[in-house]
Amino acid sequence: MNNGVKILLVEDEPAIIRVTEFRLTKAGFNVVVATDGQMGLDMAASEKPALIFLDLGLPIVPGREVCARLKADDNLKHIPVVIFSASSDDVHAVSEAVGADAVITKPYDPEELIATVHELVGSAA
Amino acid sequence: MAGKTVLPEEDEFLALVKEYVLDMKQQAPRIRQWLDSGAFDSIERAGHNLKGTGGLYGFDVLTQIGTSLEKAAVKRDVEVIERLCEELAVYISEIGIE
Repeated sequence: MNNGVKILLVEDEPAIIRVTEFRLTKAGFNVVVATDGQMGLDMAASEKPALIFLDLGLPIVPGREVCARLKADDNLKHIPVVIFSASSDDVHAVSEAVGADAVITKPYDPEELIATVHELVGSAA
Repeated sequence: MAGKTVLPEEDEFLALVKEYVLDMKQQAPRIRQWLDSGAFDSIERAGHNLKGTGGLYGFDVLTQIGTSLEKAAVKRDVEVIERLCEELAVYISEIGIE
């Protein structure tokens, strides 16, 4: 199931990391975690994930800057980025401004989480 | 050396829920300390995190408390923060996790 497709979760809140890693791993994905924005950029380059879940409120490099830098990098811009935020107010505007591919609002529906991966990664998952 | 114990999926999730609830038991006292020291930014972050995490572990009430707490912290509304902190402490204490 899902063939161990690699997903990078860039998130600094341990309670969200634990449950999201659990949901994605149980669905058959291979999850790697970065806990700050710089680590997220580094791991996007080194791990070459099929998809990135990206929190906005990250230490060191904010999530919106991480997304903008990923989308400006010719080697990484093809990787779908899903903004992962508990802020519902302007998250869609931010997502559009930085070129993200989708938004998931926390707390998310676990089925929506998996469906979003399938939608963006397609037949690879 | 003993091998890794593999739990059924529901037991694995229950273990995560227990860990979360144990951590949340410390949250109301932390918020009271931040309130005493005027650390409204810390309370705002705690509310934001509670909003994002509660529902993920099956506690929609915690998401509601977190949403209100984040807003109250932005407004520096001490009275509402104290009330929400009490609600949080009572709700967590009534969750039947050993």
